[in-house]
Parts: sequence; structure tokens; C-alpha cells
Amino acid sequence: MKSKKYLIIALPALIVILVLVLVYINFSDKELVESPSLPKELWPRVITTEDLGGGVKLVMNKFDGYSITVPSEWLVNSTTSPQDVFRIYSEPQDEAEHSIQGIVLNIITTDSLEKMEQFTPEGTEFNKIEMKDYTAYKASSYEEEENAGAYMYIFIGDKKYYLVTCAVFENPNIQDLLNECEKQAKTFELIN
Amino acid sequence: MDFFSFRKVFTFAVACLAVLFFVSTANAQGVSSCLWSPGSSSCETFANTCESTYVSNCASYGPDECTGQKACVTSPDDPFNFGGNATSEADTTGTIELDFAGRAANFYSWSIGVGVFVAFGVIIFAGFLYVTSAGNSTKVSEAKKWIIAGISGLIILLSSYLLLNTINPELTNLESIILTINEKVELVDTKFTIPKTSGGTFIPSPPICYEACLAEPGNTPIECSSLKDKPCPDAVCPLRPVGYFGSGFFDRTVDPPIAISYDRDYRDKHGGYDLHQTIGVPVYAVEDGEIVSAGFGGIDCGTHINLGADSGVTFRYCHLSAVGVKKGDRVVAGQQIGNNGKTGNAKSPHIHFMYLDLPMTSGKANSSVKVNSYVDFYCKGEGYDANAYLGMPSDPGSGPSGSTGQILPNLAQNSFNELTARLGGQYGLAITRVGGSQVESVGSLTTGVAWSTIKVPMSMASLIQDPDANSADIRLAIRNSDNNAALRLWTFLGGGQTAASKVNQVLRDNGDSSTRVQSSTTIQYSAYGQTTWSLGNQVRFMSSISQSEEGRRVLTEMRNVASNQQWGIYKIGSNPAVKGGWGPGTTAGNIDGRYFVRQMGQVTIDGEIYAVAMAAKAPNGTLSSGQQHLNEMAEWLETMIRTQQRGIE
Repeated sequence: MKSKKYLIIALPALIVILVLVLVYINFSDKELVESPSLPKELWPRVITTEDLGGGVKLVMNKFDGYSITVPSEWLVNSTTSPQDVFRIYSEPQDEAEHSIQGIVLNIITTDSLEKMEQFTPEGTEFNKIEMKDYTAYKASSYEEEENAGAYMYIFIGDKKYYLVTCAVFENPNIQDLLNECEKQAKTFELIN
Repeated sequence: MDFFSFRKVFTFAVACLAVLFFVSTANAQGVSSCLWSPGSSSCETFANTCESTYVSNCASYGPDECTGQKACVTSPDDPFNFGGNATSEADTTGTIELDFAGRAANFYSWSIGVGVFVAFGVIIFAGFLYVTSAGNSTKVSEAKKWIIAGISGLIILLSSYLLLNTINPELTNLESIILTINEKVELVDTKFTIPKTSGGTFIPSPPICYEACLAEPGNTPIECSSLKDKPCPDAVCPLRPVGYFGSGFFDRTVDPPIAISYDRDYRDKHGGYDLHQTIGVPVYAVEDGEIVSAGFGGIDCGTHINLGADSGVTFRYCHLSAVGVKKGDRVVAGQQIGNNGKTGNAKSPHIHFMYLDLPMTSGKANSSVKVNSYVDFYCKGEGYDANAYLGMPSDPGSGPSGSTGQILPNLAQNSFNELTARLGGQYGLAITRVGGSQVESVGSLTTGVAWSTIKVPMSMASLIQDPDANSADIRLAIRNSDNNAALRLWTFLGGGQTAASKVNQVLRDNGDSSTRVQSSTTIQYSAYGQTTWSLGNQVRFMSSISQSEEGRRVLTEMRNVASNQQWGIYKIGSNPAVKGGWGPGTTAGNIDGRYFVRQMGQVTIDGEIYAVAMAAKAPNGTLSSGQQHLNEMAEWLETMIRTQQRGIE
């Protein structure tokens, strides 16, 4: 009889502990690359990709809270650092140190709009555009001397700001490539 | 425990849980918020009803500004109003805290405290009963039941809190409940501009010379006295030390990348010199002068600084991650002005350093010739030697020699050359931190055929295709380097181009953007083993694979390799994970009879996890010599890492 009493107390406690362990395993930081030498806010973010079929894949940065869909053959790194610009390339990355033909899609996450200044031409006017579920802002830029063009989009999340930039360098079909990139930029979504 | 006392425990616990879940669920649903009314007449009214960030902003405005709604609307935290572009009456953005929300939050915190208090009260009461029982067995028994009831309730209460906190800390952290704004309301301008700021998050490093120290705001000769015997030279290299030098366009399939397609002195398309280092390391003013411009420098250049030197030359730095100066600032040679980065058109962290002719249209080729001379002198030659005593900060945590900076010390290249001269063959080594991106390498052997190292991504591809299949073959392929097991895995993946594509995808997903797995060959060896895989790409791959389930499973096998595979990296540090590969040739399809021996893996040294790839071609061309030389290289590597970690050179 005494053992039953303990059982009544011990069993729920055991279940709670087991649930806690399972939950901990499931929810531990799979969104970050553990880097003990760095402060946690600088740990690299894990980028996941998921084949959606139809020649496209979903790219997700769960920690920073966004996803974007790009063609399957575009190159995506598996991590990105908060000190860095997250880049997706439409061209093989091994050809040259600088992109010289294809599309470069940048995603920058900041905690304020002001911090985007270093990534956008001074005085650039962003105009409101309608997206599927929410509002975004777009600007464009062209540098004749470098033969470089860019479309820039700002998305606003919960205390986070996202600058998605399509850039094309030294390509005779800059406009076509920017339009192609725009299709992908507009698949940008906030998650979480 | 009789039914009555069990009911007490149960009722108490359920009541506590009910309180927790009630308020937590209310919060999780985001019961919402708050819109301050355009009718609010003053900041005081606004401050009383809005969240703290807005309150503090309002508080920063003067009495004249703080009348009516407008001052609050133009607060710096309002993302679409930067002072000059306010939309005044049209703006209805903002938040208001609901009274209910505040009460709920208070009740939530209060109920947890009360729950714990009651539980302790029950235990104290039970203690009192026990003390006053005077040996009465009924009272003693009753007291024990109350003690058990109190403790059980406390455990369940705290466990439920822990459970909710583990699932999502927000469930137990009700700060304030905010109603979201109605999306149908036109809340912001249809256009806006981002204000000019300094650009990027500048990471300062300790000054490296006396005048540079004095140039920093607030510093006096007293603060800089330790550098008094280190006067700044007239000119310095913009990065110290440079990881590797480049002409602008690279083949990145080899480490370090080599320049392609351009004559060194007439790179009319590039016009500058690329100096590579890890992201964030300090960038220095090369000469005394004034900042001409700083911040965004174009889609191609990214974040930049133009320095107008007193000598009459304008120097341009591109691709910075941050700048620490602004237009008009006076700087001295050796003063930190920014951080290295890869903004603009750059695929890896470096600064594009230009000797800017005025006007620029006078020709980039001309500029290239000049900047070559400059870099050759101040970053490689006599000018560099002359001020080399400036060195790097010795505090490992404060500069590039820290855990985010160099892995190998400056002396590594010469030291490695001495080692390889003694061994007599061809050797190469690449290393990066796990999760890092900057690869450091030494030696002349930078690439070669993969041989059995390709079994690692092949095993991962197999696990992706079916996590439950081929466990035995993966174990054999990795632990014992069994070729038959590897062939079965290849067949499982579809063989030929189908299998190659799947293994390629594993490489792409794990930091290797260029290696292409061979699907056919004319020689007697397996096609996939003839894949050309550079040491640099191997370490990028090895630094990344821990992030996936299949990668971790293969790493487990690599940590348990058979005794005849336990050489090289396996002999150093702690928790090594390795895969070796060897065969009688170095280049694809070319069997010359001399063994090319290589190994890649992960190893922990002094708490830091590194991805390492090594290769050797011993002078006698035998497998055993190659393995022995990799042992020596591994020992050398461990010494070098520890030298750098301790700041000893």
C-alpha cells in the first residue's frame, strides 16, 4: 500500500521530467550554430532549405524570422553571421571573387531602419508596394560607371527590419535579371 | 494517502496550473493592443497610456515640442518618421496598453507568488501540527499528509512553470499585452528615405601606435603613455596582417585563391588591390589625412571610406562592414577607421584598396599600377618591415588574434616551410573554426583527388535519402574505409550522374559551393574517388556538417574509426573525428604510383573546435610515409594553434 502512495507522487513527477527533457531536446537552439568563443548574439544563424518541387526551394532563417523562395539551382550557404550579409547567388560561386554575371540576392537583418543606411544609396526614396499579405517598400539604383543595378526592398517584422537587395553587376541584361530576382524577392515572408 | 489528502494535493496543483495556463494562453494568442488616439492632447496623456519606449522618447522632448500628438509621432523609434518627413495628422500608428492586459500581467505574476507562498504555508502548518502532536499518532499522520501535500503542490507548480518556460519563455513573461494595429488603416507614408548615419556597427580595437591613440576622442598622453615608444609611422598597410593578397578576380577552387584573367599591373576592370582577412578585423588609415567621405559607397563598393591624405593622394577602401569615422575627421596613419567586411560586390571578406586618381576617369589601370607599388611596399616589403613592430594586439579577446581572428600565428607559413623542407615532399593544410567561414592555409599542396574522403558526403546523402537504411555500410565505409560498402552506398543513391547530383547537393548544403563529384572515369578506380576536392573546400564542408542530423551521425562514425585509421588529426587535441583517403595519384585520372595521402576532420583544441584538412605526398611516394608525415603536420598544427591562442610569437 505504501509503495502505491509513492507511485502516485512519483509517477506524475517522472512524466513531467520526461516531458521537460523531450521538450528541451526539441526546442534547443537548432537555429544557431553554437560558437562558444562568441557572445550568443553573434552566433551564426542556421539556414535551412526545403525542396518545394517545381524547380524551387524554400530558404529559411528561423532565428531571424524570414523565408524566401528561390530557384533550386541558386547557391545558398548553410549558415550566415549577424555581422555579415546573407547572400544567395544565381551563378557558380567558384568562378571569381566578385560576382561578374549573375544575380546576387542579399538579405540583411537589423534592429533599426537607420542601420540600413550603410547598404543603401544616400537619399534613396523607398516607395510603398503591395505584397500578398503585408506592406513592403521598394527602391532601385543604377551605377553607370560600374554597370551595376539593384532593387532594394524593406520588410518590417517584430522589432526587426529586413533589407532584401537584388544586385546585378556587369551584365548586358541587367534589367531582365533584376526582374527575375524581383520575383524571388517578393516571395520573402516573415515567419514565427 | 487517503482520498481526502490526495484531493487536497490534486486541487491545489490543478488550481495553480489553471492560473498559469489561463494567463499564458491569453498571452500566446497575442490579445492585442493599443492605438493611441490622435485626439490625445498631450505627451503627458500619451505617456500615461503607451509603452515605455514611447514614454522615454516623449520625455526627451522639450516642453514646446511636447504639446499635442505630433512630438510623439516624430519620435526616433517611429520607423517612418525621421523628423523631416512626418505625416502629422495622418499618422495613427502606435500602441496603447489595455487595462485588462495590465491586470492580467499583474495577476499572473501575483498568482505565481501566491502559489509558492501557499505551498510553503501548508508545509509550515504541517510542521506546526507535527510539533504539537505530542506523540498522537493520528495527528502525526495528518501532519505528514499535509507535508506531502505541500511539497507535491510546490513541485507540480514549479514544474509547470519550468515546462511553460521551456516551451516558450514568452509564456511565462507577460510584460505587457499590446493590441496590434489594424492593417486596413493607412498608417505610414507611401514613401520615405533612410537618414544618413555613420554606417555599420563599428567595432573598435586597441590603438597600435601613440599618435593613433591620441587621436581617439577623450584620450590624453596619460592614457596613451604605454604606447609612447611606438610612434606611428608615416604610412602603414591598411590591414595588419593581410590574410592573402589578390588582384580582384579569383579562382576560389584553390586555397588561397589565385588571380585569374588579369595582368597584374593592368587590371583596368578592377583598379584596386584586394586585401583579405576575417570579417570585422580593424582597417587602418594608411596615411595622415582627412576623411573625404564615409558610408555607403555604391552597389559595387558597398560601405566605403575615402581618405584624402596630406600627401595629395585619395585612398579608397571598399566592402567594409562598418566605419568609425565621418566626413571631415582628421586621422593619422595607423588609426583604426573601420572594420573589414564584404558589403557590395564581394564574395568573401576583404577590403578593396584603391589609389584613387583625381579625376577617377584618368584610368583604373593607372590606379592599379600605383596601388600595387603601395601595397607591395607597405604590406609586403620594406615599408611593412619598417613598421612591423606595431604588431597585433596581444590580448586574445580584443583583436584579430582572438577567437574570431587568426587561427595560425604569423610565423606559421615560415615554420611550415621549415617542416616541409625537412620532410622533403609536397604538403598542404587548411583550417577553419567549426561554424566559421575564414579559411587559413599553408603549404604548396592545395588540392587533389578526394579518394576515400568522398565517403563522408556520400554517407550523408544516403542518410538523407533514407535515414534508416545502410547503417552497416555507412559504418564500414567511414570507420574502416571499406570500398565495397561505399560502392553499395553509391548504387543505393542511383549510381552515375544521379548519385553524383545527390552528393553534390550535400556539398552545396554544407559550405562547399564548387566541388563537383565525378560520375565517370576511365581508370580502374571509382569515379567518385576521383573527384577533385580542394583542402579549402574540405574544411568549409567539415566546418558545416555538424548542423545537420545526417552530418552528426557521420561525425559519430568518424570519431570511432578503426585503429588503422587513427593517424594525423586523430592524434591531437580531443574528441577528434577523421576520415582519411589515399591512392596512387594526385590528379583526377592520373595514376602515377606515388601515394597522395589526405585526411579531413574536426578536432577540439583548448576548447575551440576546428575543421582541418591535410594532404601529403611523401618523397618516397609510399602510404606509410604519407601517414607518418600527416602525423607530424598534425603535431605542428596543434603547436601553432596554441601559440596563437596564447599570443606567443
